[in-house]
Amino acid sequence: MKRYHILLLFASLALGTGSTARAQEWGYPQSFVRDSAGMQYGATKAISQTDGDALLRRSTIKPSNSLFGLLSGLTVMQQGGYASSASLSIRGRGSLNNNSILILVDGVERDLNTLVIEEIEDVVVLKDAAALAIYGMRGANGALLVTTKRGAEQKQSISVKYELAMGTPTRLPEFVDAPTYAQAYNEGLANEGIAPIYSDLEIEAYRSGKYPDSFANVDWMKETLRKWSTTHQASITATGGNKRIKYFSMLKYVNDQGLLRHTDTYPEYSTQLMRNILNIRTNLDIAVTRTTDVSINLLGRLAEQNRPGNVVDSEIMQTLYTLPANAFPVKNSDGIWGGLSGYRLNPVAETSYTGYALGHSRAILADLAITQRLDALVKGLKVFARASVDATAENYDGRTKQYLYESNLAQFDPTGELGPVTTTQYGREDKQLGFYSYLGAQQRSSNIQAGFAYELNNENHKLSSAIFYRQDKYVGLGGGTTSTHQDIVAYGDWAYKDRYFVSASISGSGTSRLPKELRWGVFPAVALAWRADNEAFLKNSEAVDLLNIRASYGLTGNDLVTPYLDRYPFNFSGSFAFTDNILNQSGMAEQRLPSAHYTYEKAAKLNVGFDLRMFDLVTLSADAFYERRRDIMVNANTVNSGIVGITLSDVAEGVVDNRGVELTMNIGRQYRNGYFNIGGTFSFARNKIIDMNEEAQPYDYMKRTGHSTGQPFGLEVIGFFQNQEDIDGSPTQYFSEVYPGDYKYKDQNGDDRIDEYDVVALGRNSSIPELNYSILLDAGYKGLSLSAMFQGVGCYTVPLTTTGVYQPLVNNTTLSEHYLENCWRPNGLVTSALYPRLTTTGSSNNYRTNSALLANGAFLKLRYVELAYTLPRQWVNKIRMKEARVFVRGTDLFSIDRIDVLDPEVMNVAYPVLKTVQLGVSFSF
Amino acid sequence: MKKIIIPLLALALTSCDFLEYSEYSGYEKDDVYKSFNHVKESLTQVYSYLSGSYGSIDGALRAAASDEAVYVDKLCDVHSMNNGAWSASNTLDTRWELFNAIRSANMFLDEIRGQEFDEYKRNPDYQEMMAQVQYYPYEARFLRAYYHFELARRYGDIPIITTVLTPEEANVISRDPFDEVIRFIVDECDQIAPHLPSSYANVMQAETGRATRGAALALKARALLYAASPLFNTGNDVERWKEAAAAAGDFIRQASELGYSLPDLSKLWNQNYANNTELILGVMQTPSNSFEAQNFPVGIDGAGNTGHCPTQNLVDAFEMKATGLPVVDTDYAEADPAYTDNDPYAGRDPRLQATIAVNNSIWVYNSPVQIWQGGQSGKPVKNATKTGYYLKKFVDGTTSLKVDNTSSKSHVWTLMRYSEVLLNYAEAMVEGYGDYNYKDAPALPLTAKEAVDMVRARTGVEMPAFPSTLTLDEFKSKLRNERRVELAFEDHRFWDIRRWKIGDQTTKIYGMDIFPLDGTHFRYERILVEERIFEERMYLYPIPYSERLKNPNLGQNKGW
Repeated sequence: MKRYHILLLFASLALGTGSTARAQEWGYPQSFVRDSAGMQYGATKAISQTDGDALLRRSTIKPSNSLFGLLSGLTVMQQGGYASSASLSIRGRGSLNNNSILILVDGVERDLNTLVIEEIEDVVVLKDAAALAIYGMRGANGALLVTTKRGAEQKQSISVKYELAMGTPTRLPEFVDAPTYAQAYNEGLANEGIAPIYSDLEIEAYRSGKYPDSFANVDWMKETLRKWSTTHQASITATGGNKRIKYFSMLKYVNDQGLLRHTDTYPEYSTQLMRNILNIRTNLDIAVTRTTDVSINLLGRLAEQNRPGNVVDSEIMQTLYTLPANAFPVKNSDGIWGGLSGYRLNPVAETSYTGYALGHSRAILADLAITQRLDALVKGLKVFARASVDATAENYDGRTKQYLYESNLAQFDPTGELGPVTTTQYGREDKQLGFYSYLGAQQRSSNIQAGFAYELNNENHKLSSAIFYRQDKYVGLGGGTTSTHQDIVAYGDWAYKDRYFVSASISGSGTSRLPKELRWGVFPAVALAWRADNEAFLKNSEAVDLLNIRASYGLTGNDLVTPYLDRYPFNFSGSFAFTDNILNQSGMAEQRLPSAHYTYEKAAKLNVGFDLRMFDLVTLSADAFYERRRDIMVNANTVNSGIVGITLSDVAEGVVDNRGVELTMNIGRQYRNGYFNIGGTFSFARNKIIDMNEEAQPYDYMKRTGHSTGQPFGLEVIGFFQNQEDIDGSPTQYFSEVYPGDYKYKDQNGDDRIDEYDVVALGRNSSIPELNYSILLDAGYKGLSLSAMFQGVGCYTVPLTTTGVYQPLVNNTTLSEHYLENCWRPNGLVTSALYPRLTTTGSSNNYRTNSALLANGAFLKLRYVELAYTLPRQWVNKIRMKEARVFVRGTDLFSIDRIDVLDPEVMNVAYPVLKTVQLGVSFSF
Repeated sequence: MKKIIIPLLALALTSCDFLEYSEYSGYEKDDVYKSFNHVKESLTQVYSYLSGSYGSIDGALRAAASDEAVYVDKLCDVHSMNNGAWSASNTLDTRWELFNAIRSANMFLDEIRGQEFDEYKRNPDYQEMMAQVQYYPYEARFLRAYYHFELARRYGDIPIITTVLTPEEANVISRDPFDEVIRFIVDECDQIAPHLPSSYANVMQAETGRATRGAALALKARALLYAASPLFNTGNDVERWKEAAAAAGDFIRQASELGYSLPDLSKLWNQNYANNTELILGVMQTPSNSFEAQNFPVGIDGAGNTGHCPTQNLVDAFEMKATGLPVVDTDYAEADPAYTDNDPYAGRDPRLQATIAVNNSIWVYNSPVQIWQGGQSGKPVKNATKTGYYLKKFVDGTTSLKVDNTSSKSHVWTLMRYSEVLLNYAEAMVEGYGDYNYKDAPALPLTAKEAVDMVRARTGVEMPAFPSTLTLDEFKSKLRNERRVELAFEDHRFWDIRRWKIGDQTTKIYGMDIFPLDGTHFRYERILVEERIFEERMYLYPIPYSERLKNPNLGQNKGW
């Protein structure tokens, strides 16, 4: 934590209900109390909070990728792909269906990643019903409140910052070279009694490289990708204000260049994966009269995203994880690109020689808020109104070309001489670029809120309350994307003598996602807190500086249900041929019955917790929660007789329990010349299916009910078949023909058959880690500071199904070194095999969910380490600067886990996650 | 609290329809049943449950669950019917979707009642439309009866459903006794037959393939034959046989008037109604080579997958052409001494080579099928036939699977044809009247022997008539053999085994190992291919365990 956090921490002990979040001041009520360190003193609600500046330590382009480890109860998972956003979940998962959280930016549902970190003031996670009930239909999955920076009554302050980041993949799998591949392919064939297709002479030709056109040996990963990517980020912010007007302005530019190696074939354009982003924000607070405040927020964003003309990043990676080293050369010796039908296209040609495609996105986010204080009428009363309009569009503009490629196939004759070469050409060589363009995305949304707020503050009583109306509309591109919401919200937070706190809130919430008679719901919540340290018996305690004990209970909703289940659709289905000419005619029939019970999900949430500060040294917040989610839409056909003769729509009969604990702790002290902080978060959430209308299972171990929603089910591997006798003497496995080296499964029901009835629960949660934790270290001495964060997850299972890495050879897929080193080999070449024998034809016996292909996905990563030096003030003041700072950082530098070959966060085939080294300077005036 | 707040909110917000935002698009019920085209499509959807390859089990015909064939892929689910793995939780061939078909038929009947298509009255083709519409309700009722029969021969007792059920009704409905189901089917057929046309060749659009009067009469005859059979006629009530005989006789009496005759053997399979004059009901499929890809011998160019391997048991049922005698000793005659295992396919009933591809016979690509050991389609090639035979019926040998030249042919799956009615008649007559020379024209126009001899006399078959020296039991036995031969692979044997209750006689499956002696001669050696499990309970299917939990009133069949 930065130094001033610590100072604020000391200053914050007296916070009460009176000092609510700044956002409320300009119109958006957020009913909670906190200090800047994220502790909630005297508050009743379960939240966690981080300062926006804490995100700067990772300094990612998208804010979601910087949220790791900062907020208890928030699970952040890195996703693969160029320019991808991290996935966010709050308190695990409570639904069998849509678990998307509500993200509000300045009180309006928006994409967090439209922002850049520099404009974020703070991020708050709302976790319990007391905090979420006011969000009605959208609260049950938790909410993330993001507030942008505002001006303050102070002298103008200008900050300039520049950062350079160099990124390299955290991990990329290594694939075998051409001779090894050919040998392995032969082995795969031999494993099924099929004759080899690569002769010794050919394997030797791959090894020698003597005939590179016909017998290529290419490291595609190396040929296509470069080692380092670069990112430049520059920003300038200006903030300040007086009594009449306060402002915060920011301009940020980002240039990000990806990992493609050959991108400058043509001087006119680059084919690199690249982003250019320009965010311009101005937030204004204007005192129009002595009792009237107006706030205006404006964000404009211009962004472009470049890529090679024919391929997106996921396709490039799919090729690199598929194309074997021996497929064809990058270029033939005649200068024509290599390529062969039946294989994926040459990735070097695809990324350098097919033109380029550029996406342009434009976004405008605008807010206007007016607050009128009505103290003249009733002291503490005010009326507020606000409106927001967002519009974004993304247009793609492609300029592509085709190219000529050829294969040169040849065979050796028995004497060892290379026979005639058969040259086949494919494609065509375009001299000019072809054009296309399309609208990739478009959305507009609006939000209106208005109401009254009332605050009371006297010696014994403090009250903060509001009643307001809110409506939202979101329209996306194409049909079925529009949603509207209406809410009426009332809440009050009352404190008596700064010791006893009561909060109550209620919302009436309506959604367009449900039919008229079903679309309204009511969501009440209550919460209590007791500030024990303000009681006489603790008031003068040396040890206890703060002790707050709280509990909350209430109802929240989730309207993210499948739309139109109340309808009774008919459509084309089935066909039958009539006439002597045998002509098919299409049929038409009802598709499903309307849902017999159609509604939104209701989550009853109970939370207990405490906040403690002792010896001016240790702060601790702890929460335990229990949630029961009802009315989850689940299959109805599983419990209704099929004799009805028609599919039934889902019904709201699912029930899921979710429970867990969270801990945030910090030990820190300030000294004259320095400070230290050791902190951390710990979150654990586990759900359990109570009812999912599960179909009767013939064996108890097959039941999903009673397990978590993310529980994988598969076959239990008990070893490998060592030989044919072993196969003959074991129960028949009914998935595909088995050979020595195939997985041998446990016969769970003892019927001497291995089939779908032998499937059991395996591993931990595979949809989300149940355990998340982080350790933050921070120390400073004079101008020097060092900080680091370790973050990890546990109780997490990942499937080992990645093409090429764990599922090689089939359909000419490449083979990872890891697989070859760890798979079952004939004659016991590998003594403790993890993976089944090589196969070129595939094996549905082996490649299905089983205990060997589910791995522990737990990891511990160094999310950042930063060394910074702030120049002595007396130096910089001489050149009229307030502060000058230089820093060097590393992010995601290492990971401790059991996957080794891939990043455990990105097990799919995707553009890799990068670890970065960053250098930066910042000045303020 | 809700009681107060919700009305308040409703009051406050009804003025604006902010939340009323539907982007729903799709057909609604009213759209469908007011439009002639959609009405027609709704009926087509009911037809669509008549399935090609008889609604196969994991790709295999039910023939592979009887002594007609062995399915080559040992992982195919069909083996579960033969090895005892079949159970109420490991269900096979449930055809539960036929309840969807019955529902569609019932809904169609409900909605079309009184539908005059008034809006179309001024259309120039109104009369043509109505010419088709007049048959629709009867077609739907035929299909409903047919689907009831399909379910009843699986489960015995099944619910008779003539209304569109609600889920609640379906959850408590109980099964009606088999006899009542048959009675329902017979009554329906009686009522609809007079209203259906004998052929659609002259109805607007000439949509052959729709249910005809002949189909209704044939279904009735088949249903009554099943009801008279030992599995369901436990008291051996001969009146049932007589009723079955009368129903089949009714068809035969009108056969030529309805347009049915027995065509040349070469026109029997995969032919449309115009060519195949004995086809009563079939499923016509647009050109496809998937059945060929499944069943062509392994090893040929373009690689077949062998699929169904006809058994030696079935091959032995084909008699000698010259004498009409069997090739192995049977309970109706001793083996023809002219037959020898050294040249087993010479001089046999022509239907053998029309049904089954035997060793060294000329077939796909006009080449000999090399089934001998070491041949391209023989052992030890992986997935070569297990029995020494490949399936030919319904497999179009003129199809090419060659990579550079694939072709596809139409298929027509025979559901009902005239010779089945004749054989149904012969069986019912001889069982009902105990005399294969008995007849009583016009109601019973043929004797049992005349009926079966008609089938054997078909052009291209021309097998000797049944000897008149046969005892009654010998006649019955030879008739069963004739049925097996004539209707092989047409989804009859599987059911005949059940209704005759001869399951325990079908567990040993034989094949032929073939060794080459020189280029043209082979040594044939009979082998036991597999021994199957057939238990008493398997005469009827189990009600799926999961469905019993959803509707406890369904009960369970004996032994499951």
